[in-house]
Parts: sequence; structure tokens; C-alpha cells
Amino acid sequence: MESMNERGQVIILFALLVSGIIISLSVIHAQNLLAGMESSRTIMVFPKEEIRNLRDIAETEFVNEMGLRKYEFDEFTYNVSRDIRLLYAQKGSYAEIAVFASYPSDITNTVSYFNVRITYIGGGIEYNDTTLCRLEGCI
Amino acid sequence: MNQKGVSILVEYLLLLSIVSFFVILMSLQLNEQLKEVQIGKVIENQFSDISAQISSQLVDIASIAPSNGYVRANIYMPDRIGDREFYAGFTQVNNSTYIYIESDDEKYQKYLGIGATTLYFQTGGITYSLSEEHRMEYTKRTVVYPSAVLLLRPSIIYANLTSPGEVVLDVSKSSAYGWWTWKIELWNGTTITGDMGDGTYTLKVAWNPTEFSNNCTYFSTNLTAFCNISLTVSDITYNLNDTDNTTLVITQNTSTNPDLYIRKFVIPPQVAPGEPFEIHVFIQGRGFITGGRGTTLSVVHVIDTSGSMNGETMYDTFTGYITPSVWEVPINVDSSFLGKRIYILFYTTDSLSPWWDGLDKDDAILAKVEQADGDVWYANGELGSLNGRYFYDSYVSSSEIGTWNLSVLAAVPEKSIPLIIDVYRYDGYWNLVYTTSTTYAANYSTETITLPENFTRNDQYEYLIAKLSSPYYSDFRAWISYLSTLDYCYDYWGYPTYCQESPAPATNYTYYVVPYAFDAYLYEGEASIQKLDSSRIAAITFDGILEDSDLVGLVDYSYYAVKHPVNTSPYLTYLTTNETAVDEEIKDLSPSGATNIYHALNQAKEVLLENTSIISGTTPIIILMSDGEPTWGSYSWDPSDPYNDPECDGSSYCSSGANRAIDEANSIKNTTIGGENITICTIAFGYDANEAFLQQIASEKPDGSKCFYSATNYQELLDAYRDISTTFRLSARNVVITDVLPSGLELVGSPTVSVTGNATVSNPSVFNTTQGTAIQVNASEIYINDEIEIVFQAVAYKPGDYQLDVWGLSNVTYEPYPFTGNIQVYNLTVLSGRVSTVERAVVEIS
Repeated sequence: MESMNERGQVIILFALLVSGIIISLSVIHAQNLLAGMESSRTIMVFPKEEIRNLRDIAETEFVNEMGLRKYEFDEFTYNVSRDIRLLYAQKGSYAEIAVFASYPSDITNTVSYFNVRITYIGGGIEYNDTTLCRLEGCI
Repeated sequence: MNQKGVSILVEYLLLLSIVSFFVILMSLQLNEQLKEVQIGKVIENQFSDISAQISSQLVDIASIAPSNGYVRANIYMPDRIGDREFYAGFTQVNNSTYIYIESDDEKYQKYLGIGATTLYFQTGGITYSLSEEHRMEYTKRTVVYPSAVLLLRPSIIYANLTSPGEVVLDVSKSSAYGWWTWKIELWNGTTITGDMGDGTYTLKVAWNPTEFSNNCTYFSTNLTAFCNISLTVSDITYNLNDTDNTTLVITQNTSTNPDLYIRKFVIPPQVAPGEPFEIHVFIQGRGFITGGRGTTLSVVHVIDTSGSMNGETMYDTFTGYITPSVWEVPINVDSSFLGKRIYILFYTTDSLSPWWDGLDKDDAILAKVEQADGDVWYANGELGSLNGRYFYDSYVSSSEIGTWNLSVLAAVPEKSIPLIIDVYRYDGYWNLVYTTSTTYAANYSTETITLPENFTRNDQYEYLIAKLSSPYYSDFRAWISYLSTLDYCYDYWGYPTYCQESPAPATNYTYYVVPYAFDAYLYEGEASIQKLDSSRIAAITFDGILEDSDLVGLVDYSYYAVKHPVNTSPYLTYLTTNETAVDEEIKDLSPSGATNIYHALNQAKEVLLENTSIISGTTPIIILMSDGEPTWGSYSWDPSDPYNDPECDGSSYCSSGANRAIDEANSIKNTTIGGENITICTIAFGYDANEAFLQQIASEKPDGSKCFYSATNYQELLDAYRDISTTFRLSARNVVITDVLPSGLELVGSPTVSVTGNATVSNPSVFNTTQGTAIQVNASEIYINDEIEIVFQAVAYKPGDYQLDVWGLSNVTYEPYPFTGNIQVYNLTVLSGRVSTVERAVVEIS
């Protein structure tokens, strides 16, 4: 009976130790399961297309409209910028295309170039770019 | 028994302790071994994940890298992995860059190469896992160097002792990063300053031989000075400067031969490797419109005076932004108002004079009430005895209890007025429970419209109409002020802000635009005058730029055409070199009747054929302007009975009349005077003009295109007349512009060429030479004040200073006036550009 008691105690002791080992290993295993999550999440959420769209608007659409008279160009860019703010806000991000157009020459009445600042904040990314655009392209 | 029991217990405890000790020791050892193996794997995997995350962020950033700005990306990582803190960052090993992660006990490391991305940016920085935030930042600061470009329009001016010459200094092609300022220094040390808001500056130059002798290259024999003007452009952000110099020709000698004004410039002067330079070659036909071409014109104005010429045409446009000044007052409508009536007054004690004199002064105030439940009501009630509005609610419900927001604005420009709000509650009588007041000044804008003098009889225009365009006109109120008159602009048949002044004296008009809506912002508007008045301005302006020896005459037409005698000479009655005599006749024209284009052409021909020996050697031109189409003058029409045409109704297109006019036009075009064919130039004025018909009767210009113009407003009409005046005045012929890019520079895309004026220009051709890539454009003719601009981009991939052309090969060859067949060569200015690597991007982890 005595030996029975002793064995029982030893078994309980061992059982406790093994349980502790298993618990500590399971915690580590759980960390292992999470590995790979951040990189795949980053690849998925990086807002490349959103930013490219903004640049396309500034560097292609706005440049294409440089034939407009100065006040028409200002109105056009203002309206587009306002719409972009609203559209991106609906998607939970902030985007702005701020345009400062040059004053026109007396000859053409159109802008000869414009400075444009593109701002995007969303998906853990903050993007800011300022370029100078002419009919021939942006630099 | 007790002793035995004790010894057994002691023995038991001792044995159990020894066994337990060894068991625990072995277990811990086993746990440590198993755990380390697992931790190693976890750390390996997690470090790989973090480095892959950084790497993918890096690649994504590279794919959208800004040329001048930054990208900030958050990096996500656990505080600890396997109970270890760690560092992440970039490191260099054997000249290669890696993403580097290391546990703080330095037991575990992970390296991940980032490949060729380091060609594009420098890397650096480190972050600790316990930091609150981890971030990777890409930064590129490209300094856009200023580019100063000064163009002169025109590049040669006539100045004498009594009247100065005028030149427009155009700095609008200059550029710099952000806001920039410019300074122009004239040959005599005078400086003119401005900023990027001022694209041009009109300079008046008085004739001053002493000044020219001291500061310019002056040729006293032919009274011509070549004076240098320099432009410095400075940007505010980086304090960088660029300078451009050009030469203005000032002369008293209008027989100076025409020439070409040639400039070459590069934007920007410094770029990063792989970024393009933009190279511009600018050519302007230089010479005098008013003389020096050796060709004398005999011009007949043929002006439509049919009834439709009384209609309006756009004279000027304007646009602007105004944010209304709104007085906002929150009031507390508490439970004491529950179930009661409320009465809110918005008014001013000011007389609102002179702006609202004779008008309903209550309308000057606009007010709205936003109740606590979100309902918004405009205070539409008019106070009558007080100048203002009221709002009335017969029952304040429980949902309306709370804060009410009151908004008021007043449409009164130029003066501050008191505004008062009174709130009454009906407690068996009207109880004034709240009152407040303020001094209010409205935001407003003014537009100036100038009707010039000396174009109409007694300087009175038939009328001037000023109005805002739809839909903006609903958001504003407007007044017009001139001399001592101030008029409110009424709602004219559903068209608010409409002002018509008739007659309208030649003076400055101020059009006041005042917001009359809480969300008013943008406005656009226009001013219009009578079509015939526009024609007077255009034709008289045209006469003003004719040279002294040019002959000019006038025919006007409606049911029939009238030749105006303008000369008392026994040899010539209808043509004169005294343009003033023609101008005075133009001032007396008035509109009525149909459109007989046949007779108009017929009478214009008679004017030119009156005495062909006197005008022989001149270029005969008929300028026919019409706002409609032939409605009179069929083959059955007889000038002896001008008001009767059996085939035409006088109000719609008459094909017989059109055919007769076309026949007459063909006859005129085949008529020569002194070997010169008569040229017919036509101007379709307004939206109702039959452009196809007018184009059909027009002659061809020297460049082969039709001498036909379409004008819908005064400015375009003026441009058409001006263009005709320059059409027949060449600066140079057979012009070949060649620019050679030296080896080391690569042409990017296709060159473009833009033309302002009548110059005939080929598409740019690109070909290879032993010295580099050549870009060539041919222009068969360049007329005075024509402008041609060739633009192309070149790129270099290695740092260094580059010459952007090849001396001697980059040139402009042309046949100068007087066109004897000699070819002149102008070598383009050698430009240099710098390609620098100092602008490399940086990526940093922090």
C-alpha cells in the first residue's frame, strides 16, 4: 500500500512536469503558426494601385487638360481634387492632389506648367510627392 | 513505535527528495532541449516573416517611388519572439546590403539580401522590437533647379521721342520648385521685380540715344540700338537662382529688315541620372507689322450691317472665388419654449444706401435657422418696416428643444453695417428673450470692364451687358458702377445678375459680385456688346496697324452694298492712305436689313478697280466680315430696285444669292491688279455665321490654307484682323532648324513642334549623324510675330556635365528678307546641363 502511494505521487509529479513542458511548447508552437502572416498581409494591403491612380491623374489627365484656359484649368483640377478626396475618404483613406498652376502668358491664356503635390495616407502608408509638370511630361 | 515511525518518515522524505531532485533536473533538461529546438524554429520563421515584410515593403515602395517626396510605411513586428527581444535594420556585408535581424542575446540572426534595389537608393537605420512604433521611410529630395527664360514680344520695337515703344517681357516659360520670384535688369540698370503670379510685364521704352550709346550697342547711322535685358529667377524654397539674357532691338528705322529671333533653353539645367532634360528651340518672326516689309496693302473692309449685327457678342469674360461672410449665432431654445410660438428677426438699421436704393431692402438680408432636430428653414418673411427677414414657428415641439444655429449674411458691398437678431417667445404677449448684434462686412469681388475710346461715334457704345453665367448667378447679387451711375443687376427673364447699360459710354465699368447663398463660392461671368460695335473696334484697330503707305476703303452691306467715299483726290475716291477718314465712316454704320454678299463683293471689287494704275504694285485684299449667310442678292436681284428680290426672303439662306456671290468671288479671285491677284479674306462672326459658305468664297493664303477666320467674340474678331495684317508679311523663308544631340545623350520620346501664327512647319524628323542624333524641322515660311517652338527630351545615365548640342551642326538656316536666294546660318547657343548623383534616394528604418 505504501509503495502504491509512493508511485502515485511520482506519477502525479511527472504528469505535472510533462504538462508544463507541453504548455510551454504549445505557446512556442502558436508563435510558429503566426509566422508568415505579416509579410503576406503587407503584400496584400500595400496601396500601390491607389497611389498609381493618383499619379496617373496628375501626370496624364491634368497634363492633357493644359490646353484649357488658366481659370478653366484651375476649376478642373479643383473639382477633380475634391472628388478624389471624397472617393478615397469613402474607402477609408485620405488622398489629395494639390495643383498650383503657373500664370498664363498673354499669347496663349493657358498654363505653361504646374506644380502638383500628391498626398495619400492609408493602409499604414503615407505617400507624398511633388512634381513639376509641363505639356511634355513631369519631372 | 514512535521512533520507528519517525525514522521511516525521514527515510521516506529523503528518498523522495533525492528522486524528485533527479526527476526535476532531468525534466528541466529535457524541457530546455525541446524548447530550444522549437524556439529556434520559431525565431527562424518569425525573423523570415519580418524580413520578408520589410523586403516586400521595399519593393512596393520602389514601384511607386516619388521623384520628390517620401513614403512612410509602418513595419509590424511582435515585441518578443521566443521570449527574446530583437533588432531589425539594414547592414552592409562585403559591399552587399542586407535586411538584418538579430536577437538581443545575439544568439539568433537572420540576413536577407535586397538585390538590386540598392542601385536606386541608400539604406540605413535600425529598430528595436520593444519600440512603440516601427517605420520604414523612403525619401527623395530632387532639387528642381530654377530655369530662367525671358522671351520678348516683339523682339524689335519702334520708339520715337514722342511715343515710346512697347515690348512684353514674357517670363512665363521660366520655372522653379514651388513659389518663385523674378528680377529683370534692363540695360540702364533699372530693375523690375515680380513673382510667378506675374507671367508678363509690359515695358515702355522711350527713344534716348544718349542712354543707348552708354549702355547698348548703338548704331547712330540707322538709329538702332541692341540692348541687353537679363532675367534672374530665384526660388523661395532652396534659394537657388538662374539667369537668362536676351537682346531687345530698339529702332527708329521701320525699314529695318525682318529677321528671326532665335532662342534655345533647357529645363531644368540639372537632373539626376536617367531623368530627362527638356530642350526648347524657340523662333519668332521678327519685324514690324507697321512697316519695313516693302509690301503695300490695298485693303477694303466689307462690313455686314444687316439687322442681326445688332445682336450681342461676348466682349470679356471673368471668373473668381468668394467665400461669403456669414454671421453665425447659436441660441438656446430651452423647455420654456415648449409648445409656444417663436419669432426671430434678422435685420439691419442701416439704410443700405446707395446699393439698395429703390429696391426691396428686406432682400438684402439672407438668414436661415437650423433647429435642434436638424430641420433647416430659411427666414423668408419680410419685415417691411425694418430692413430684414423674420422666421416664425407656431409651435415649438419637444424634439426642437435645444440649440438652434442661426446664420445671416447681407449682400451689401463696400460698407460695414449693423446686423441684429431678436428672438421673441409668445407668453401671452411677444416677449423679447434674446437679442444680439454685430458689425457686418460682406465679402465681395469686383470685375473691371473697359470699353475703349475712339472706336464709336461720341464714344458711345450701343449697349453693354454684364452678367454672371448659369448656375453661378443664383448664388450672387451684382451691381455695375461707372462714372456717377450705380445700377443693380436685375433678374432679367429668369436671368439674375443681368445688367444692361444702353447707351454705354466708353469708360471703365466696375461689376460688383456679392454672395447671396451660404454655399456660394465660384462665379463666372461675361460682358457683351453689340456685334457691330465689336466690328468697329476690330476694323479700326486693324487700320491702326496699317503702315502709312497702305490704302484702305470701306463697303458696308445689308439689302445692298454701299461704297464709302473717303478720299477727295480726283484719282481715287474710295481708297485712302488716311485711315482716320475710314474710321470715321465705320463709326457711323448702323444695323438693319438683309445680307447681300454678292453686292458686297461686287462693290469691293469696284473700289479696288477704280484706278488700278495708282494701286498697281500693292497687294489688293478684300476683308469680308459677316455674322450670317446670303439671304438677299439672287440672280434676279437688281441694284436699281434693291429692296425687291423675287428669289430670296431676306431672312433665310438663299441658294441663288449664295451662288451669285460665289460666282462674283471667283471672278474677283481671278482679277489681277499690277500682276497681283485680289485676295478675299472672310471672317465668320458669331455662332450663326455660315462658315462653309464664307470658307468657300475665301482665297488661299501664301501657305495654301484658306484666308478664312471664325470669330465668336470681340477678341477673336480682333485676332482675325490682326492675323490678316501679318499674313502677307514674311520674316524668313526656307527655314531649316537642326539640333544635334551629342553622343552620350539619348533622345527620349518624339520631339514636338508648336506653332502660333501662320507659319507652315513640317513634322520633326529624327536621324543619326556621326556626331549624334539630329532633330530637324522645316518651315517654308515664317511670318512676322509667328512663333515656333520645338521641344524634345534628352537623357544621360552617367553623372557629368553635358553639352546639349553640337556647335556648327546645331543651327537654323534660312533665306532672309528680301529673299534673294542667299541662305543665312544662325548657330544655336551651346547649352550645357549637369547630371548629378547627389539626389539619390534614401531608405531608413526607424
